[in-house]
Amino acid sequence: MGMKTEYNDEWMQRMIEGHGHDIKNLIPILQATQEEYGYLPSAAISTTAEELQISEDVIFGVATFYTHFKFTKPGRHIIRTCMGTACFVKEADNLLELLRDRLGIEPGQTTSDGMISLERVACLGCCALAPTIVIDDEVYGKMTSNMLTKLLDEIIDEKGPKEQ
Amino acid sequence: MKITIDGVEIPIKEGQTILEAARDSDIYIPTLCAHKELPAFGACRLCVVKVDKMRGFPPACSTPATDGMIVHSDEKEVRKLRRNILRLILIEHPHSCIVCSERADCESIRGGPVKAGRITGCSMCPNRETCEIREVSHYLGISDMEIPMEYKGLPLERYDPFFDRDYNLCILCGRCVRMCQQIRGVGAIAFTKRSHNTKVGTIFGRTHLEGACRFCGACIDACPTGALSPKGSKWHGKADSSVESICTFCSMNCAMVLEEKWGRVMAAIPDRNKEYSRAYACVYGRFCIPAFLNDPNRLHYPLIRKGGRLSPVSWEEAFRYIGDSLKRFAPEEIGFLVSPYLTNESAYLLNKLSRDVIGSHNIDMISKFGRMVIQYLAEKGRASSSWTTLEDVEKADWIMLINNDMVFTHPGMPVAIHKARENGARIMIVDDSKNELEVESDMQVRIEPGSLRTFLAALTKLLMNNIKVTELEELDSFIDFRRSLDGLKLIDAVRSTGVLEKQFSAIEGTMRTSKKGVIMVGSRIMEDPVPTQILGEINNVLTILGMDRGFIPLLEEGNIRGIADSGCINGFRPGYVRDRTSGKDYLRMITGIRRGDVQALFISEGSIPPEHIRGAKFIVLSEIYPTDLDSMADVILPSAVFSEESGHYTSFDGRVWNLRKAAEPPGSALPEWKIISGIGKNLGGDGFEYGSSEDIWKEMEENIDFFKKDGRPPVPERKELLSVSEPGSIHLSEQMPYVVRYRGTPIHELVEDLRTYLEENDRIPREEDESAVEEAQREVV
Ligand code: SF4
Ligand code: SF4
Ligand code: SF4
Ligand code: FES
Ligand code: FES
Repeated sequence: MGMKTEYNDEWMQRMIEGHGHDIKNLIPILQATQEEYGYLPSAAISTTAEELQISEDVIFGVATFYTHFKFTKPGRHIIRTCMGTACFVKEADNLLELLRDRLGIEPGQTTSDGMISLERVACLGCCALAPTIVIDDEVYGKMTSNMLTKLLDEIIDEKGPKEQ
Repeated sequence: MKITIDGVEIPIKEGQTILEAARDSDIYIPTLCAHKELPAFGACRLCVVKVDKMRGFPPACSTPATDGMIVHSDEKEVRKLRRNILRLILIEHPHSCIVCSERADCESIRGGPVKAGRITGCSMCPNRETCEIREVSHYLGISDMEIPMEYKGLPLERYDPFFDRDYNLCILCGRCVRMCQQIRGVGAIAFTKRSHNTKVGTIFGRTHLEGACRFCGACIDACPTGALSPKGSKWHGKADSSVESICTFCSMNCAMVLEEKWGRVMAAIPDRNKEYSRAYACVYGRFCIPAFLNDPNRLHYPLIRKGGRLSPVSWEEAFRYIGDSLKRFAPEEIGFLVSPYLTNESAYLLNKLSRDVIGSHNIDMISKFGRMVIQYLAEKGRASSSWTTLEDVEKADWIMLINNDMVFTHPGMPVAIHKARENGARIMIVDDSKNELEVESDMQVRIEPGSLRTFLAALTKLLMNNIKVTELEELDSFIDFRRSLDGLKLIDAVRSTGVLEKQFSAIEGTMRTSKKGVIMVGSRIMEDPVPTQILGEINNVLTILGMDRGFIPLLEEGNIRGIADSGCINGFRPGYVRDRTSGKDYLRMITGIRRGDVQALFISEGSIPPEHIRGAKFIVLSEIYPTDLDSMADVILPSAVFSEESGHYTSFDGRVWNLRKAAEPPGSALPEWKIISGIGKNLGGDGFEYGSSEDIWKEMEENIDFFKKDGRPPVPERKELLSVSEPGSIHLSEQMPYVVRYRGTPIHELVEDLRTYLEENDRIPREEDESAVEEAQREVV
């Protein structure tokens, strides 16, 4: 996961041009934007609003309808906690609480240093392993607070030396 | 075609839904998400009915009525279903008062809503009197809730000007969202997120002030609940009385219901019953009327300068003093500068007072753009005919907007333009600076400042190349006109205007497609040293297109049109009858004062720069608030405002509206017509014995063709061509943006929230910068 291209307004305009200036192309345009940048930068929303002649608020309304769209730059690492029924029953909310506490962010947000994004998902399809957590595409099952703390330490440590 | 609802046969119209047909025949079907002005949405399901031969329970609001349909609405099964649907809606809406057994007693004791931080029941809700949830709950007889309430606990949004939002009361009917997007064409709000977390909001939860909102309040008026409430008028409860009147702040004159309580106007609500103009009202009319009119600084008593100091006197003394003083001057030494916010009746009397009683023909309007345009049209014999109307705008095939800021000067107009665009009109913007409507237009042409004349000339030339104008060739002006075009090369025009050749031909092509077009022009053309040249060149374009309508000048002041119609324009008596004796217009009066030719003035608003009238020997000023002119006035007369008198106003497109009295004026202030009559009688004039303003209107209707029903002549054919000016750029004189006012006082001076909104949009200098501006102005003077 991780770093995608820097925002580029010309690219954006060309891409919209390619789709056509019609409101019915809004979703494909948003998808292409997210594909390119990993999220929907606010400048991209402004440009889309201008080009399609709709308000930014309307675009925001449409985009927030789909959980797929993100509005903050994804962090270098993405932690997804499952909150599906099986995981919930196995007290996944404790894990989420721990993550919230440790990272100081809410699901959907990224730490201010851009390192870690936190997300919650509805069922990952491996309920037998509940509670599950996914860190950067790797699935960790039967997760406990202790294990999670260790994993977090590793990620945060890794960041340490790199920053110096 | 007919359908039957609960055994009653009712007629239906082509394309109607069951709900529309029922409403037309006064059959009640409960609804929450339906709104008369909006297309059906089908979200709340409260309007479900049973229809023979149809499965399930279709919603009446979005089911088309077909001939012979048999509908059951008021039936046990349907009622039960609706009750349960409403209960589901009520889970998330504070409903304790709705199901409270003490409700009747409680409401009889508590006259109005109790002011509370958070609204957790009807007894604390400012919407109590008009709430649709209460209405449908009552109709369906909801008296208990088996499921406990779930309060959403959303933060209150009270940080924006003009209105508060408490989405804990929101039932997600979408009326506000649809109103803002589909009718106003703004889209400042949208549904965000989904399912349980759905909330009406803005992008990233920004404030409305930072966002696209224009504070028209249409969302509030559409909301069936108390989720949205106007800050200024939410706590006064039920009005004591209300009258149908209009907003007088701009020349659109939107129909308004003025609500009175405790002797004052407490709220102005767009009149939803008036098909015409109900959707247009804007921030000025919806939110600013009460605060602007009720400021404690209103003038209460007539004042006369005695020994250098202004002291209060009785009206008799004031009238006598004015009469005696005016007699000292020769008629031609007296001038009348008329406020464009007076009623037609008052303007008519002022004309009588100056031209007939005193014999002075120095009378003109206090206005820049409007005065220039109407004078121009009157000279051309076109002012008396019917003008291009709002309906013409809504039905136009193309609209060209030239140098205007209508989002701030006529905020209702973009609504009509949005409607036109929905109907397929092409909107073209030609402007030398940023136009807020660019996002709502099909073509945006940013011209170089000072090149508007060249733009119009080049457009004219292109049209001439493509249209046969054999008839026009017979005009005297044709040869000169033709010759003036010869010198013009498109390539030069492209260079000086910055408009591409393909843009020129796209515009020209669009205009040729239809004669149902409109050209609107705003007051920024006053930056041109000879703005009438621009009007003439616009006339060229329309003439060549063969259009006899289609010109809309965005007149600013509320009744500028009406006072010109009624004779307060230089050179014309009421109804644009030529005045046979010539008099001085505004500018000549100003220079006349300097030279000593004009010595006495009757001024009906204090918006004139004091330098303009310095040197006058005797000044009578009628106004509503103290102004900069007070220190120069010999007599100050307190006038009533539009909500304190009856009379007529004429909107920019010539529609005549009734003003109706909603409250008494403060102190001994009088309606202007009574003031003028008082002065007239003291000067020994006849014809000032009126019992009411209605008598004056009758006299106008009887004596002046123009005011008779259908008395206005048809539009004369547009047979005149003006030689275009040399290509090249014109030196513009800078202008302050126009700010909306009434009787000379800018609305924002008395309405704090409006100041915030206009500052945010750079229409007025920010408070901290203001002293710097004053400093700069002082240096210029
Ligand atoms: S006040 Fe007008 S512009 Fe603002 S959100 Fe409401 S409807 Fe939209
Ligand atoms: S705020 Fe009012 S109008 Fe808007 S969705 Fe909620 S209840 Fe409906
Ligand atoms: S200011 Fe003009 S557009 Fe606004 S409500 Fe008043 S008359 Fe209507
Ligand atoms: S509920 Fe968590 S994996 Fe299915
Ligand atoms: S009024 Fe018909 S579904 Fe809401």
